[in-house]
Amino acid sequence: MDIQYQPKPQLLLSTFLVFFIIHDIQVGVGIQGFQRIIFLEAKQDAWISVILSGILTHMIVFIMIKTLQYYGSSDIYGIHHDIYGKWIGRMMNCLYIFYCLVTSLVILKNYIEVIQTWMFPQVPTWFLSISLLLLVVYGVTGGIRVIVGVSFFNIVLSMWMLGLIGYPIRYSDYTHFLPILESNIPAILKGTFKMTFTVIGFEILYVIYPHLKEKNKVQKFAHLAIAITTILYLLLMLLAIAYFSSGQLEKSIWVTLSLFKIVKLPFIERMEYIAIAFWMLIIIPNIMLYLWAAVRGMNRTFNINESNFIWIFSLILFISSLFLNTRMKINTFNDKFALAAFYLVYCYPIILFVFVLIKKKIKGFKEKQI
Amino acid sequence: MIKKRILAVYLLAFFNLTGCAEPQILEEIGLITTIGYDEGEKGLIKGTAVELKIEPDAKTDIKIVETQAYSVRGLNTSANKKTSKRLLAGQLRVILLGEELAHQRMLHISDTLAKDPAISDLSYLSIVEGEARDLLNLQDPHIPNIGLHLFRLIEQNTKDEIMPSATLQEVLHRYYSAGRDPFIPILKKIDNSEVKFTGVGIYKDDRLVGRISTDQSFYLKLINDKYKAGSTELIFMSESPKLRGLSHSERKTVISLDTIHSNSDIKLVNKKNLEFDIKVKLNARLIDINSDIDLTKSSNLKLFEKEVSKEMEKRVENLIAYCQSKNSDIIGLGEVYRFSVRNSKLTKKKWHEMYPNAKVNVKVDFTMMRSGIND
Repeated sequence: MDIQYQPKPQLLLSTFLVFFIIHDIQVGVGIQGFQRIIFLEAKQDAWISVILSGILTHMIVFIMIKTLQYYGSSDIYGIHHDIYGKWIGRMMNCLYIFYCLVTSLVILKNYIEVIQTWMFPQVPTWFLSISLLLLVVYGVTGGIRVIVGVSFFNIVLSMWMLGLIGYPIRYSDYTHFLPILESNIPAILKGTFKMTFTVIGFEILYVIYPHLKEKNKVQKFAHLAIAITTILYLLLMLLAIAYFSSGQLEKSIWVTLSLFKIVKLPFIERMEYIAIAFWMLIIIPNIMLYLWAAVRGMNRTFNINESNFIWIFSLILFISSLFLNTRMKINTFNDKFALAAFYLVYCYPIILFVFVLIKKKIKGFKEKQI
Repeated sequence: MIKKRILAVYLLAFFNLTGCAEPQILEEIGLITTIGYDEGEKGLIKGTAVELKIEPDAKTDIKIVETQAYSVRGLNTSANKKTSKRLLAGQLRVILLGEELAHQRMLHISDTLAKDPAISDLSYLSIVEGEARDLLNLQDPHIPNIGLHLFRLIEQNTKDEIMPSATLQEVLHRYYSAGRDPFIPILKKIDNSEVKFTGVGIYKDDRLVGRISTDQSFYLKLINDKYKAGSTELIFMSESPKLRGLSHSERKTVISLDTIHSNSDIKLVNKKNLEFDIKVKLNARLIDINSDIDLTKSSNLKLFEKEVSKEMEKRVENLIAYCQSKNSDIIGLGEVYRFSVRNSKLTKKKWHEMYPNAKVNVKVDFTMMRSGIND
């Protein structure tokens, strides 16, 4: 396989779109209830954990783009091939493809769980799963431009949801934040670690990078996206702490949705129903992007036709979504996934960067000798 | 091509979520607007629901459905057995707790209701003196829909800052705070024709331990919250002869204040021996006074303001003393303690041991803004 990957000119994307891609893929199912998980660790200082996780993400993204820049126009699959050689490279690629699939499954399943708990308990999993996946397949077969188009529109279209934040603010009690820094540092760091599940997504850069037109502007837009996401999370975290008392926060599963439970408009009394239905627009491009990344991986590693694998992977996702059926199972799965994602998304880029550096050093050394 | 596909994804997404659920046609469902819970025999809960019916031919819009079950959820199921329409609680506005039940099971019921995504967190909670069932069965030609009547009554009084607000969210919020106890207003049926707000039930944890009067509830809000446009009546024995009332038999002074604007500040001044300072600032318009004191004179005005402040201080102190005697911290002094003391690791249990011995100094600063259009 080729290490370099140069997509056809019509498949190139304007660089500013990377902002929408990253912001959209980061904001997914995690945002619906991350506050509780962080709060359990860091108590009223949970917001510090959110800021720290934002800073950490900035650093990782910086390293990721630096790694990619060494290769000019390549993705993680090509880099793996270059660093590890054919066989180990393929193994690593398979691992990455597997990760993308599991992430799609986590998003799909968590969203279905929300629909079934909040809105339609009587609608069976298979039905929701199939209808969501068909949409995803439809998008992915359309190619990267369709996927990016959907994620662009969904951010524009879901802006109004920020306005809902205004309602719970009226019931906020700011003394909940005091005393600041009561939790010890390990607890806050543990909260930062637990943010993984919510902030991941930006690793899509590894796959989408060759498609971006102006490579020198990627840093700017990628960091802007991370910053906006962090601010959004910070806002929701602060609001949750101020609105709920500690006991309540420790009990509710989908804190963000519970926050919206009190929004009341003259023509519609329960806004969270709209919000949950609307969430579908946020979820779908996420699954699309991950599925696309997985399929692209298959294509790059084994040179197989992409379109078959879109269906095969969707079938796998569908079948596995039927087995994850109770809240308990989903929770355990989420926790295990978050741990794995932490190593793969936060630790692995650093290792890869070091490998790439060493490789380049050796190469340069050899060239000098000749 | 691409644009079409994007559009198609959106359209399909919308149809998906609007089309896949079972329809709920208004004529085929019964909306529960108010529900009352009472203690039944042998641990049963008696539920009384006000069902709003959409039936053009019926004389009244509502129907009272009474059932018994061991759990809140069980009530729904057994109530359904009695009606021709499926009962849904999405429009629930008022939750009534019978007096007996309110003593023990308030938390259990609120928790179960809050778990249900269909039920709004802004539903009002109220305790009923006597039985909730009795109140909901009130017959009066002027109250055709008791559910709506109760909702309007509570909403109106809460907005006018007469009744302390106790929505599901607020009650649970207070219960789940380490240093705060919940309170719920009490309603009473009078002569089978009226419903009246008669007091506020105060809790220690999840146990109803006492009640304060509607007058006292004014002071509860005064220290707990802010007034934007409240009103109150103050009747007191003045020390100064100038202020003595003319119309009252014991020559007590009666004053009436409105557009009360207030804010309060609670501070922990002594961590070891637990001492709090409560400072309340309040501005109001005087609309009625039964003595002939000339308030245009600044010395008289000062005297008047001082007397009123002193009287209010006394009342706040009484309220706090009463709450302390019942070990119920509805004011939230515990929260002040929690956020003022680092690493306090405050729990409800710990706070209830400390709270009764706390010393509270109250300072009220009353300013008369104006006195209507005539002096």
